[in-house]
Amino acid sequence: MVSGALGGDEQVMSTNQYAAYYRINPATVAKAFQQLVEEQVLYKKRGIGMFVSPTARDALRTQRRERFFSDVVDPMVAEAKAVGVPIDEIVARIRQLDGRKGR
Amino acid sequence: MSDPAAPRPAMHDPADGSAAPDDHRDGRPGDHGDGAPDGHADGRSSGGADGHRWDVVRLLLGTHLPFLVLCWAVFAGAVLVITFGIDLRTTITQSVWDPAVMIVRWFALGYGVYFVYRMLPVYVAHGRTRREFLRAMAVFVPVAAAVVAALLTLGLALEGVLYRVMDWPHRVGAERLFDAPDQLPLVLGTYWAMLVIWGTIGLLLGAGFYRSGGNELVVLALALVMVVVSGYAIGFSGLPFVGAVVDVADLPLAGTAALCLASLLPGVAVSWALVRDIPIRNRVT
Amino acid sequence: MTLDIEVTGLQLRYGDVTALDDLTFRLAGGRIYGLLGRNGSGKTSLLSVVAGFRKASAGTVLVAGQPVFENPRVTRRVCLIRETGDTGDKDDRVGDALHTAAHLRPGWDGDYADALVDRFEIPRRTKLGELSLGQRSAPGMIFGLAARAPVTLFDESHLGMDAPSRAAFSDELLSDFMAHPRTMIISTHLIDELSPLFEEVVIIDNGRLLLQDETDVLRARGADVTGPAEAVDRFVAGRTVLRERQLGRTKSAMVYGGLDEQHRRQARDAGLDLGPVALQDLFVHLTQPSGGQG
Repeated sequence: MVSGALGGDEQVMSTNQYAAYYRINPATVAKAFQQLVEEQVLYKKRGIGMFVSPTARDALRTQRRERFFSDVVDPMVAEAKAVGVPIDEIVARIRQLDGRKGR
Repeated sequence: MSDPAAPRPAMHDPADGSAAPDDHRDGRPGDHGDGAPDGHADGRSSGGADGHRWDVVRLLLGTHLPFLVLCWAVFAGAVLVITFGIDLRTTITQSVWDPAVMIVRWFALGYGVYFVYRMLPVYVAHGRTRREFLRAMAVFVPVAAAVVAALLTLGLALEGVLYRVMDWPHRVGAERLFDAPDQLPLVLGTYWAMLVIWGTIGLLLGAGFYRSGGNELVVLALALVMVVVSGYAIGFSGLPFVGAVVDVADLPLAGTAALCLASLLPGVAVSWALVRDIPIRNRVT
Repeated sequence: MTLDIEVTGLQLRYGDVTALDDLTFRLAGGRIYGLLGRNGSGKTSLLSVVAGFRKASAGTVLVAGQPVFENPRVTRRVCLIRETGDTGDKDDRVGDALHTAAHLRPGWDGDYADALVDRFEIPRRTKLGELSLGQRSAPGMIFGLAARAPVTLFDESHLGMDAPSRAAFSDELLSDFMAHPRTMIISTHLIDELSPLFEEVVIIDNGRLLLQDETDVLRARGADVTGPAEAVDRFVAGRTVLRERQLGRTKSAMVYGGLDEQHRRQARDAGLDLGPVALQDLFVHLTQPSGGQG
C-alpha cells in the first residue's frame, strides 16, 4: 500500500485467502484486518470484502514519518556513536545521497 | 429352548443413572427416515437421530454373514474329506459331522473375543457408545448364531442323506440333548444354544482381557462355570474330568432351557459390567 | 454448527497416578486450539476424556452443554484421532476402514475422503497395520478431516509424517476448516511449525492447566533481553525471568510478561537488545519437566 502496488479502493485478498496463502489461522488474519480497519487503512464493504482506503497510503506514510526518527534515526545515531562514526560524516553522506537522487 | 429375547433385558441395566437420551427412540425405529447426517446439537433432536438405530447391526450382519456362510462351506468340505478318509481306514460307525461341530464353538468364542477386543474400540472411535455396541451384540449374536446353527443342522441332515446312501449308521453320542440326528428342531436348538453361549463367553473373555488388571481371572472362572453348566444342559461339555451331577436325559426341555439361561445370564451381566465404562486404550497399529 | 467444550474440575486417575488434576477451562466453539504439554502432562488423557474414550474420575466434561461419556448425541459429533490412527483394526484394509467409517460417522464426506486418499497416495488394498511408517499417520488425518465432526481432536496424529506431508495436511486442514468451521484441538510437539494454525493455545503441565491464551498474545509476552550483564539484571529486576544465559560479560534473559512501548525504549536506551521469543522456547521454559529431568 505504501509503495502504491495496492491502490486506493482496490480490493484486498479475503481473510480466508490470506490464511490459506500464509498457512495461518483465519481468525488471526481477521484480527489483523480489523486493526487495519480501525486505523482506517482498510474499509469493509458488506458482502463484498475489504478494500484499501483511499487515504491509506497517506495515512501509512504519515505513521511511518512519525516513527521515522525514533525507529530509524535515533538507532542509527546510537550505532554511529558506538562504532565511532562522526556525525559530520553522516550528514555529508546524507547530502551526497540527496544530491545524487536529485529530489 | 432359549428365548431369543431373553438375553436383552440384562443389557439395558436400568440401574444406570444416566439420562439415556436415546431411550425415547424405542418403538420408533422406522421414524428416522431422514437418517440424513445432522450435526445440530440443538437439543431437540430425536435422540440418536444421526444414523439409524440398526446401523451397527446391519453393518455387522452385512459384513459377517457372507463370511460365515463361506466358513461353513469350507467346514463342510473338510468334514466330507475327513469322513471319506475315515472310511478308507476303518468303518464308519457314527456321525462325523456332529463331533466336528464341537470345534465350531471355539470359533464362536474367537468371534466373541474379536468383537470386544478389536471391534469395540473401533466403534467407539467412530462415535458409537459402548451401550449401542452391546445392544448390537445382543441382536447380532443370536441372529448370526441362528444362521450358523441352521447351516450346521443342514449339514447334519445332509450327512444323514449321505449315510443312507452309503449305508452307514448315522448315530450321535449319548450325551447329546437330541437322541437321534433326525430330530432336527432339537438339533437346531442345541447348536444354537451352544453358539450363543460360547459367543457370549468370547465377549466376556474379550472384555476381561482388554480391561485386564485382575479381571482376567474373574472372567476365566466365570467362563468355566458357563461351559460346565451349559455343557450339561445340552450335552456338549466335553470335559472328561468333571463327573455328571445331573443326568441330562432326565431333564424336561424347560429345565434344559432354564439351565442354558442360567449359564448365559451371568456371562451377559458381567460382560455388560466390564464393558459399560471400559477405557479405550491407545492401540499400537 | 460450532460446539463449545466446557471442562470443570476434571480429574482422571489411573490407580495411584493422577493424570488430570482439577482441570477447569472453556473452549469456545469454531476455533482451532493448540494443546501443548510435555510427555506425560496429560494431553492424551484430556483428549480421551473429551471424546468419551475414558470416563472421568471426577468433574464434568460438557460439549455444547451435554455430558460426553456414553452419550450418543455427543459422541457422534466428536472425533478423536490419536497417533495410532483410530481408523480401524490393524487387519482391516484401508478401503474397508473407509467403508466402516462411512456407515458409522454422520456427516462423513466420502468424496472428500477418496480425494484425500488419492492425493496422499494411500494404497486402499493394504492393511492398516502394514502401512509404512510414513503412510501410517495419513489415514488418521484423512478420517479426522473427512468425518467433519463438529468437534475434531488430533492427538499427535502427524507422527511419522515427513515435512512435506505435514505441510500438505496443514493446508488441507486449514482449507477444510474454513469451508466447514468446527471446533478443533490439535495436540502436538511441533509447536513452532503448527502454532500459526492455532487461534488459542492451551498448555497442560503435570495434569494441570498452565495457561490458556490467544496465540499472538502469548507470543507477545515473551522477550529476549540481551546486553551487558549488569544492565540486563537491572532491567529484568522484578520481572518473571524464565531463563538466563551468560557468555563473558554479555547476558541474555528471557522475560515473560509483556513489554510496552515505554519499557522498550528504556531497554534501547540502556543499550539492550530486545528480541522475540519463539513459542516453542516459551513453552519449554514455562513447563516443568516430568520426573524432574531437565
